[in-house]
Amino acid sequence: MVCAVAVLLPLGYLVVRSLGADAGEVGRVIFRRQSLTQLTNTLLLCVAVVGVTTLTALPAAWLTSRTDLPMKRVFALALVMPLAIPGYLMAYALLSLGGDYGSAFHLTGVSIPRLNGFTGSLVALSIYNFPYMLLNLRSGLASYDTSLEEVARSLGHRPARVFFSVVMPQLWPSILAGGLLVSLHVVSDFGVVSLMRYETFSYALYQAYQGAHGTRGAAPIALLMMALAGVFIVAELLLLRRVILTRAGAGQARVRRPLRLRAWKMPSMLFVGLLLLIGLAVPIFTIMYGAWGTALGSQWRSVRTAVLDSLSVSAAAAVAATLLALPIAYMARRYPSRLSLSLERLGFLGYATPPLAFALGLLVVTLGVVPGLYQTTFVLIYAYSLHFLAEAVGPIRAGLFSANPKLEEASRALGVGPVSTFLRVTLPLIRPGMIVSLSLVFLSVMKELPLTMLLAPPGFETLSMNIWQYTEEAMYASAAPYALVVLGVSAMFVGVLVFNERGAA
Amino acid sequence: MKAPLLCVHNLTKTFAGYDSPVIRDISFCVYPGEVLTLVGPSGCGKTTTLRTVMGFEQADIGEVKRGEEVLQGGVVFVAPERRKIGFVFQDYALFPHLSVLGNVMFGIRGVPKARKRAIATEVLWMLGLAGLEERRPHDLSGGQQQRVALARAIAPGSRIVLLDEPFSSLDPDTRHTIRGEVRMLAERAKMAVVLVTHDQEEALSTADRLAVMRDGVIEQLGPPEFVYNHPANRFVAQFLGRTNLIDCQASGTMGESPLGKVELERAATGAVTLSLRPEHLELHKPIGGRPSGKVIAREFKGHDMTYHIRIGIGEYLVQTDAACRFNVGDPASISLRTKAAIVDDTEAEPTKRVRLPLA
Amino acid sequence: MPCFKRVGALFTIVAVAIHIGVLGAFAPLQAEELVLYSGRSKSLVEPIVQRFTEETGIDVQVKYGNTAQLSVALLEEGDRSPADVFWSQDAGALGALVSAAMFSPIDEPTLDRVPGVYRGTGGQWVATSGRARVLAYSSTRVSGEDLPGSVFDLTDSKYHGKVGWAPANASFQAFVTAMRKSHGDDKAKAWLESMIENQAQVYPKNTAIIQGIAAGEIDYGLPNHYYLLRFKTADSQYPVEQTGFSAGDIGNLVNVAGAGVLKTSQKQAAAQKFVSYLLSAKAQQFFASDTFEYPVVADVTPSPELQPLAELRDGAPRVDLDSLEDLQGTLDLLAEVGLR
Repeated sequence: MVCAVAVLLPLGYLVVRSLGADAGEVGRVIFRRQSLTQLTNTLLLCVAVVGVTTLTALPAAWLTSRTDLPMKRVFALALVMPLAIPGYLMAYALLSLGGDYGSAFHLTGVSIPRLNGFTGSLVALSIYNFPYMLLNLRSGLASYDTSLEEVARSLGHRPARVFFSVVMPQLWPSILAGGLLVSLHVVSDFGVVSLMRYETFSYALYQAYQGAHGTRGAAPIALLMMALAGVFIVAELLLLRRVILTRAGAGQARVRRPLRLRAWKMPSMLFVGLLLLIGLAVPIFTIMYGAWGTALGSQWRSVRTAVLDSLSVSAAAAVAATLLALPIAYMARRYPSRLSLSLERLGFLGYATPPLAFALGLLVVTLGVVPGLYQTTFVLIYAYSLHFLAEAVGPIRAGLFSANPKLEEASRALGVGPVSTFLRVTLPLIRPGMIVSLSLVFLSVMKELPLTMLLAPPGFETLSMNIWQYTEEAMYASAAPYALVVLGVSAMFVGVLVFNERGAA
Repeated sequence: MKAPLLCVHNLTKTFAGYDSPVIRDISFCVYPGEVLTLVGPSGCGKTTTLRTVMGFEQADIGEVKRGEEVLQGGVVFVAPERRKIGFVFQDYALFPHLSVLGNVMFGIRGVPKARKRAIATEVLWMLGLAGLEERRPHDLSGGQQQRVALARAIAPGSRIVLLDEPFSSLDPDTRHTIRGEVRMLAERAKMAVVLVTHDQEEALSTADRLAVMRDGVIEQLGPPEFVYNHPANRFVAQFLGRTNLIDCQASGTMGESPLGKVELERAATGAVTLSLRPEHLELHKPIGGRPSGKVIAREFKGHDMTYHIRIGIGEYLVQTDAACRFNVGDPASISLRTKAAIVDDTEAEPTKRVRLPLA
Repeated sequence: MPCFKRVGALFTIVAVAIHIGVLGAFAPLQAEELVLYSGRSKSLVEPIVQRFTEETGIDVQVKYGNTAQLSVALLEEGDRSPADVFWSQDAGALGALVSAAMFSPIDEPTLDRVPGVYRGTGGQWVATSGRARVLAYSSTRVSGEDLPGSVFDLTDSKYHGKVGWAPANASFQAFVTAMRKSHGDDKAKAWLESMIENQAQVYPKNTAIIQGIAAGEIDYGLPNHYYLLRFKTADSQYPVEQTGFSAGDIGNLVNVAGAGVLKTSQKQAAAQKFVSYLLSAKAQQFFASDTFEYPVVADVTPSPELQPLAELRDGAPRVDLDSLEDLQGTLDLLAEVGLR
């Protein structure tokens, strides 16, 4: 309940701001001719990015979890790595690759076309969102029932048909969950679409905030974006309802034998390698290219401070978000009611609230209610944990799906009370899910910019703030060390993420 | 007679959103050393009954007592963890994050850790699980998992154990062994065991007493051989095994049936239905005074033989020894080995249901 | 149970981190400590702040951010703002705070160091460095005779689809405001519409325009003057050049970065000292030689790549920087022509 209020606060702020503007102005902002273009562009991009990530992540997830692909753990780790790269950095990397003076030209003497507009946004956002889809699909593949696959084979279906008639339906919940996350990212992304010069709602919102020294014009656009996100959130819920989720089966799941790829081994390796080249090698290459010849030593002190600042809020926010998510996911899973499910959905709404609007709303509320906490890391952590709540709820909820409620009853029957049962049975069972939650929120906070910029106390500088500041001033060499540190620290946590997947499986 | 360990009176429960109760008016008692089996088709409410006794579900009305202590009744509702009742789940519900020993020690409370370990080890030894202490549940066979679940349920010292479809996913041999172990455990430790199953053969072989359930109601409760031979109604008669349901005109202890004159187990008048199990019948060459028919099929089962006989418009099953004295097409007539059981088929009048006294 | 060990380690790290976070939150502000809201990036600010602290012993905590967002935050914070000084990247944002009466006047001696054009209304803020608008062009695809004399010439069909601009950028918006003030709203609107018709390419910021020229997406662009110099520092072969328009053309607008002291500050003296320091020879020399901006005080010379100050001032259009605060009018105009 407290969470609900907390998530709704910024929303309330937006509504108040919109009402504060006169109706004529709101109407003018919403019913402009650009609005339709922006809506179409946003939707087009959402569909395309969800499509591309699904089509690439599906085979990648399958290859790295169900087959005998060589070094598949390493591949899985590497494929999730783009998670550590902020979207705007990804867009920047892709941009600097092409064109007459791009890094590709410098290296090979051949100028490749520069990505921009729809294609550029699609490529950058797809790479950026690919890991989210991959993680969802991998967990889906880990928990699904392979015996159904075998049943279908025994009924004379060819493998390809088995995939579409049996595997796909079981993966629907994962695809839906991943798709929702991805489309929310696309709706709210600003960094990529602005650099790629593709006009979506978030672009319009940025413009509105950029210029106006007041937020009148921005609030209606923010509300419009949230309405769009709301549609996605409800749609996912409705689609999910039609999917049969539960797996009936006695005893413990069987250990599965990986599928043999045989002649397909090389093409599969090539496919995964290509994904890695685009998603990981290109951005890292660009950053290293920028860092060439930088005297890292001179920046060492500043980098160290930024690392500490980043780590302290990221870790704290990860813990806070996970602790908040725990009761929400638990209630929604064990005591599904309209209230508990709405609470869970509210988490997604917090996710979908444009961060700038979220930050401003929180700023106003903090000043009004607890001015003493204004511009402390507490408010910052609070903002992060609410904004990224949805990322924390998802994996815990998935963990609860696989943790049989009978186990809790068994514990009660053994004379253990509800609280101890939660601590002794439920918690250990969902621990892998919780670690995924921790890591996801941690990574998101590491990359986060708009909330940090507005709510950070003076003197507090995260790594991503530094990256942004230097790239903004065209000082790419100075930005590179920070970017490399973000990558390094994030890689550690991505490692935790992937290694824990096995525990969860 | 000893005092019952567990008594249930008039339990009724309706799930939210449903019109009719899932269990209605359920009453039974279980005594030390006794196995009471609830049997019935799926959806008959037997598992709900068990979960209500455990306190996982709260009944709308009715009473649950452990000895003299009220667990549920009136305003009293004792949480499951305070009921001191053991529960074994159909899919065992072993904690995957704990070892076998950890699972069994889980519920033992109030004693030092070393003591817990000693108790758990002893229980594991008793169930033939010595040596598996450090294994994880997923490394065990189905039968071993089942035994661990049983060990875990009894380790805290509960004298009442509820088992929900405990043998359904075991192979026949293991099932047979564990059934025996459960019975032995009940007798030796003087425990009260309530077992739920949908398998009539399992019910008949494990139970000291049997409660046959349908649509949330106990149709008949009694020792298995009594319920089998004297079913209260058509449903019970058919559910517990193959039987010939025969219409009969009764007058006193004799009746007129399509098989000829039959002797009844009790006096009745007018139209009644008889339940005659195949093993209650005998096959003859046609003899005078009894209607005769034809053998239309036979099933050889090794230790015995079942013939399908058509007499008039009716078809009857007769079980004989394994010697094949009749061939398909041979004429034959049927006589009774025992007095015929009358099935009370008037379900609208539950008062007529045969019930043994509760205590 | 290796899994549990790993988890334990993770939680320990996290716990330690929270500890750091909590300590950070409760660390009391020192007595002599200024809070600076800086719309200017760290690289342009930190060296100055460090030297200021070394010389005066006054500690400065900087909150970096985007100029526009920080001004929004300041307006929302109102009299509860923890900020003592606001250092803005452009004059427009300062004007908005002047309108909200949030500044106290800058000390006279400080104001006197800069020419009158570089001060805010009633001396409520003072410019700290100059930023000229220029025309950037491709050194490989554009020859001298193609260069336009006036920013108004860019609507010519020979520039069709070849010009990049950044309508969301504060400097660009200040430039449009200046055009409105010196040529009238109608002419500014006509220019914007012709530019749109001529397929001017929208970029999110100045650096993106310059990169777009290098990459061959566009041939011309309208950025601020100092970005290209930073690209050239990293790569002297960078295939972009820049130039001014004819003397007095509105396209040569010189905007400023400037600072103001918040009225609600409890440390007025220290805050004034800081602003004054920004106009010291040392600070001005830093802007001139390290950030490639124009100094605003007479006795400091700009970087050799830049034109002399006098020349800059002669070439610049006569625009009252105070008038740049009418940003709302410009935003409305941009919305009207469909750029917002």
